[in-house]
Amino acid sequence: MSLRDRFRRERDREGPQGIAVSLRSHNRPGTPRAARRRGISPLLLLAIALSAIFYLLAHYSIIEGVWPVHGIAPGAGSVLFRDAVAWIGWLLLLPALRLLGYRGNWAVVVIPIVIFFLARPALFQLFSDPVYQARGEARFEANALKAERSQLTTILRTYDDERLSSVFEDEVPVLPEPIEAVREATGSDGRPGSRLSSALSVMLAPLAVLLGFVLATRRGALRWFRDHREIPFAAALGIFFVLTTFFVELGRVRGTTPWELFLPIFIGAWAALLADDAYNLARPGAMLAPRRILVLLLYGAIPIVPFLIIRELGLSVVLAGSLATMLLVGTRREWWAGLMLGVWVVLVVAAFNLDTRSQTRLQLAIDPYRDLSTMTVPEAESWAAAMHQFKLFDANILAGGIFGEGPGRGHAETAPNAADDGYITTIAAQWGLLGTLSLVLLYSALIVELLSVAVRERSAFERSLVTGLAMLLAIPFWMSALGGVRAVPLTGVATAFAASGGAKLLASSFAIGIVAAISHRRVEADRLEAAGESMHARPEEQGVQIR
Amino acid sequence: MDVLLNWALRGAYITIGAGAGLWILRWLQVNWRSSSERWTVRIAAVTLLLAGVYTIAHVRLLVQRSAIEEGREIYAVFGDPRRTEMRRAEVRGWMLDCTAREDGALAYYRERDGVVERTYPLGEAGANLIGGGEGPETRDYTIEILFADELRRPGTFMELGALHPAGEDLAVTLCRNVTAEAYEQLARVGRPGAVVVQDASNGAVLAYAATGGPEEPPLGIKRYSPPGSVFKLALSALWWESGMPDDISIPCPAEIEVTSRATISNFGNIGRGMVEGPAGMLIPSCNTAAVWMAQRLREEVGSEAFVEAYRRWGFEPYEEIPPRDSIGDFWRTRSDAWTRRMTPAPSRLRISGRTGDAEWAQLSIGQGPLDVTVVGVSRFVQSIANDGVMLPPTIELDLALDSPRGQRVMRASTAEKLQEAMLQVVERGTGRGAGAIMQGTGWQIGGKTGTAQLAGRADNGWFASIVFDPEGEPRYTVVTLVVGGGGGSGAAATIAGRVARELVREPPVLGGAE
Repeated sequence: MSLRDRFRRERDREGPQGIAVSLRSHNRPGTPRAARRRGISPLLLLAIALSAIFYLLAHYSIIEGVWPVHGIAPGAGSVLFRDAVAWIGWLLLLPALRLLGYRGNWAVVVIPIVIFFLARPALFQLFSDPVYQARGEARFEANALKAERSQLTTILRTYDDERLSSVFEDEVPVLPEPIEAVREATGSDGRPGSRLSSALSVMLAPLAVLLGFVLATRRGALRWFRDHREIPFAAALGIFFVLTTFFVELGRVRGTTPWELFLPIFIGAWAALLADDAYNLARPGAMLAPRRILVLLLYGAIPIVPFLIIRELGLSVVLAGSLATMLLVGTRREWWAGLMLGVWVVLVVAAFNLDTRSQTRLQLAIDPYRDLSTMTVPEAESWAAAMHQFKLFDANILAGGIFGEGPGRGHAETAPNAADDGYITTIAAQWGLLGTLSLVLLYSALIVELLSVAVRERSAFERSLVTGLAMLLAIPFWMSALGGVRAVPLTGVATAFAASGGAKLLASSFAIGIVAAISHRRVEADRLEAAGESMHARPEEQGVQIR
Repeated sequence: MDVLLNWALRGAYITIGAGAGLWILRWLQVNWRSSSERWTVRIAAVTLLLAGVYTIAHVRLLVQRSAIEEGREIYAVFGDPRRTEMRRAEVRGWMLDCTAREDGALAYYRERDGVVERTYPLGEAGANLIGGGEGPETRDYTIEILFADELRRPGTFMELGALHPAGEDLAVTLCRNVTAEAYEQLARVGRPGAVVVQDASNGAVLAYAATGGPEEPPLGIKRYSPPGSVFKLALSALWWESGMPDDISIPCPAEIEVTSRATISNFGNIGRGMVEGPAGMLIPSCNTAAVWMAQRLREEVGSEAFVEAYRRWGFEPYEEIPPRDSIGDFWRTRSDAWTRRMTPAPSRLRISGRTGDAEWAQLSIGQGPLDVTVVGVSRFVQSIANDGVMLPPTIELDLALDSPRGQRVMRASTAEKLQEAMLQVVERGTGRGAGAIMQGTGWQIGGKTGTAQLAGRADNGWFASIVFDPEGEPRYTVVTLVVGGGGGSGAAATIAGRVARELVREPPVLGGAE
């Protein structure tokens, strides 16, 4: 029965007889104000406008101020094109959602875009730098040419004619082009596939939000997933195992790391399990049933195994942490927290006792600058290689200080993995402590808003799903951010929207689309419910007068 | 424009971040009491807590900057691409000499074979203070290294926003020609040594030249030697400061018995009968007269007067354990790095009321438990040349020009008497070699020779001198030490004379201003 029919029937039965009137939705009696609100709040609009302008100007500043000095990498133009398409795509996403009638929580859509706009220019500088992506000898040579070029451009920019004549006896030499030294290495290292996938993921991320939104708003789509969770779960797990067993080389599949794409599926299956069995899982007696334990292990532990096989310890922590939080929220039993904390402590202790890589990472976080005099030469060399990245991350943070060096400045590109593991230090180099703090607060706001969507949801499945997806964003962010400043060991997990990582960006965008859809459906359902309730109000309270 | 744009972008970044922070606080405020779902509030609170942890961890790294940089320095041997790039790409400011003119630059950039390099025109002459020469990286006491931050600091507001900002020029008080001459003279002698030239009126170090390899400490600043008879200047100063008679006849026998088992004799064991006052003692550098004066003064004014006076003149007295800690305010500088590394070892002497007669006599002629540095002696001589006002030495030109305020350490009349005596030493005493070199310039040099005797080693030669302009005004001081160079009247006086001659050939005008 449509709303209009229900409205008419109520009126026919109880209201005054007379002419038929047609009311617009916002004039319907009893409709809550919150449900009527459809647009983005002015604050969010301001944030998106400010960050969009920031994105453009920061790119401009890098192109004008950094490219001429350092030179550019092969493919810098395509990186710029990619970023331009992404900018347009993210901005078009908002009117697209309006056109689709989106009524949900706008913050969960807008904040990721703001994060992307604020963080992306730093990555743009890294990927357009001639040295950052070079390898081996080419990197060494490109670094020397880049430095030489930088020195010459500084002298040409700042010296007057008299000084220039003191420096150069004859003509001013031609600026060296590091791009030539890099081209060979970057053009033939067998990674064009990964670069293409990275470019596509950045450009397609807004579409992934839309896709997630459209799929999840389709009547019955989430219901089907919940009811048939075995099918997507088995398919994802099967592909995952096949990839990790046969196609992995140094944690990558043909230069890409698609692991993040599987996480939302595992989260969804776990949410479905929780929704169906939350009552029993909240009771220790029932929980210990063998069949239940088997199911818990199947959906909660088996997906973590392939991550351990390929030694993606970070992602295994992310998945385990997300599943654990969902369990906690789904059952609302705090003893789960205690139990899981205990398991976690045991696992951590085991990992740091059995795995030398984990031990090293912990030591690197605590004290990377160990006393060399206490080590043998091979030990010292090994330790120096392990801490190489950390000393450069530290250098990024020190270079940035409080306010940072500005867009593209700060020389973060000299640190390996500055775009992913150490992205927070790249932000620190360019925008300083205050810049990273801004990003941290934005991410915190995103997490809070995602949780707000979860808490408004009445369905157990949707609530658990949103909580899990929120944790999929939150846990990597905190591991990565805190790892960058050596508060915890660095695990190498990617941060959505702020760091490099195509699969993560796509998966997270899709997840945001799903959360937006759930939020939208909840608001729609609330509206209908409120409208339905208003039918029972007395005519004089309905607020519509007909003369 | 770049700077403004970059700061505007920073402002936007921070504004959005602050907005997000307020957003969270507002959310917490609304939901703290009203929300029935406590777990969301708890997770949100944990999120804020983690933001706090992040901030603390980030700030901790910033606070530990020096320790981290020290660690990076140690691990740089394993490769540091950032350091390599930054060093290769940087454009430091030029180091300008005392004239502050570009054609007198002590460090600048020059293209050679298509590569632009930092160039040091003084070469080895400047290696021990300016930079360049052999092993410049291992010499951690050069201006280039100790003033690296100043030389890298962006010179203009516009440069602040530059990716590789050009550093600000640094004008120092060292004069290129005088420094080159000082080093050349030292090199010609072929012995280790140091020369320090100061402007008497402001303490500016106009030249510093020293021998020594990259691994050795700066000889003129950190190396000790007894001052020999140069220290008789201090004894004479105390005589006059104590109001002792000037016209007194002092015995100058060939040797004097200081205890039943110890005697002190003159150079060459020559007796000179009676000499007239401290000046008469200084001119032939009569050891026995100096011992007599020291004994007499001790009887008249007591040991404590010696202790106080020597401390005032920069020679730290001690009783048992020699002081090792350098005196922090020796230099007038803005650079903490310079203060830390270049504050000289304290000039020191073991003297007290308990000092025995033999040691007392030795101290009067600059021997015994007495260690001084070249810059320490130079500062003392500068106070004599500046009519009794001691100024902290400086190598920063703007500080030298900024009307320095010194400390009066002796009466002007005492300083004048010492100046006159030093002129006499050069005119008809042990410093005649230096005087001969200055002939024909219209300028005069006054000085005091010193010969420090070291057991089992050749004597160190000292010459502490003041250069007087044609009007008779003391303008500069030149202090020379030649390690193992024999008597002060030899190589040390010759070097001082030649350096002084170069100095007055075109007297330096600090900052190029008339």
